[in-house]
Amino acid sequence: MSRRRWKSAVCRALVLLLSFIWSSIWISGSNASAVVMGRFEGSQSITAAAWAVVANGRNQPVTTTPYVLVWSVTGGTAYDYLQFRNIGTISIQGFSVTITQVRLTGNANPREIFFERCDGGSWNVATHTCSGSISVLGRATDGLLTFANFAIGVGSFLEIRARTMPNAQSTFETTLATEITRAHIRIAEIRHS
Amino acid sequence: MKMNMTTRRFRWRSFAGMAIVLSLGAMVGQGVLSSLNATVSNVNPQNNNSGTMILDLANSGNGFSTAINNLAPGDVVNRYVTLTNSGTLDGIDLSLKTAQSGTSSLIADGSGSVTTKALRLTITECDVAWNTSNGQCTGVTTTQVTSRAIGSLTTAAPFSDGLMPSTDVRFLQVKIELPNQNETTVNGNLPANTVQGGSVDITYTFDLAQRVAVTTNS
Repeated sequence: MSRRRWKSAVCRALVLLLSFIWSSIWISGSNASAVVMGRFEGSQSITAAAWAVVANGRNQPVTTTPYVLVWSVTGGTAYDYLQFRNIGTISIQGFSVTITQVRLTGNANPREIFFERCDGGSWNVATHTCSGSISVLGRATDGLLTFANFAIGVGSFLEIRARTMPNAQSTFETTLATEITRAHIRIAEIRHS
Repeated sequence: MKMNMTTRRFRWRSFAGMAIVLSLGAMVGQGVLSSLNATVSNVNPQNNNSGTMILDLANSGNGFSTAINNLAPGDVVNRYVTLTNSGTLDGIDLSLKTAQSGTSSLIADGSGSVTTKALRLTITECDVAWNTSNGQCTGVTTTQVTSRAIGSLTTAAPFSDGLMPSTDVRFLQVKIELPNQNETTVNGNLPANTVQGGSVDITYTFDLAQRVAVTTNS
């Protein structure tokens, strides 16, 4: 019985040994018939543009939060000076602003806000005058107001004066949230080089 | 019975002994037995040499040498390269694969609720050199690799015509496109999973296999 087991073990060892030998022969044979290949590698870097605009107070640091202005209207006209700055990587041709007004004190309703630009000059924020000519870019009480048909380069800004109509004695909080979409940048182009 | 067994064993042993003696005798005596040999060899050595597989790429215009910057959705940038089989062997199965790293939304399309579309690549061949300034081909154009997201090219894409005999030259237009898509940026904050401001580094690998091995008689 033990002799049979011994024979069986020897047979198995032989089978394993032969399998190993034949495998080695087959693998070395495969290598010998492997094809030669020509190869060339080239590298390229690609980046995509980003379009982004923020509203900030005049000469204030850039923040990526809605611009909030609080103004008291005491029978006269109130002003606020702000900038819409292009913080993206591509020139923009417009943007939208969502206007939300909340009355903080008093009982008057929020009045219409005029967004004005000083063309060909600059604002004097002390006297509320423009050394050039004033153009109204838009007006709204609330909702979405779109500014279009002008260009703001990367890192540049559009300086605006926000002006309210005369109102009864009330205090309002106005929030300006900017939005910009694909439609506000240049159209797609095809380049060859 | 026992006698028979003994006789058989004796005969077998005699036979084996004779076989061994004869074999040894043949080996030892071979020098004497094969003393009449004739040998001949070629006077001029036969030259045998192996072929080469060399695939070269040259930029035509900017090619891959210059980065592509600030793509807006819908933009197409065409770059031009020339592939040459500079080896002595004909090639088959020309293919392109890429390895890329960087912004994932530019590499693969979004899935589920994410609808971003990644960079697309198309390879078109002109049978004469391209005008790299305006993209005109005065000959015949053939789309070799159809438009696909660059992320899918980690698996090699075969050229529709993969044959490339020795010295063959292929004039290729590599078209990179960022598909048109809309994104809204609010208060300067880019949306989640955006393609905006992304960056990808792509390594293009062109592979050409040797022609099928042949047996020749001559």
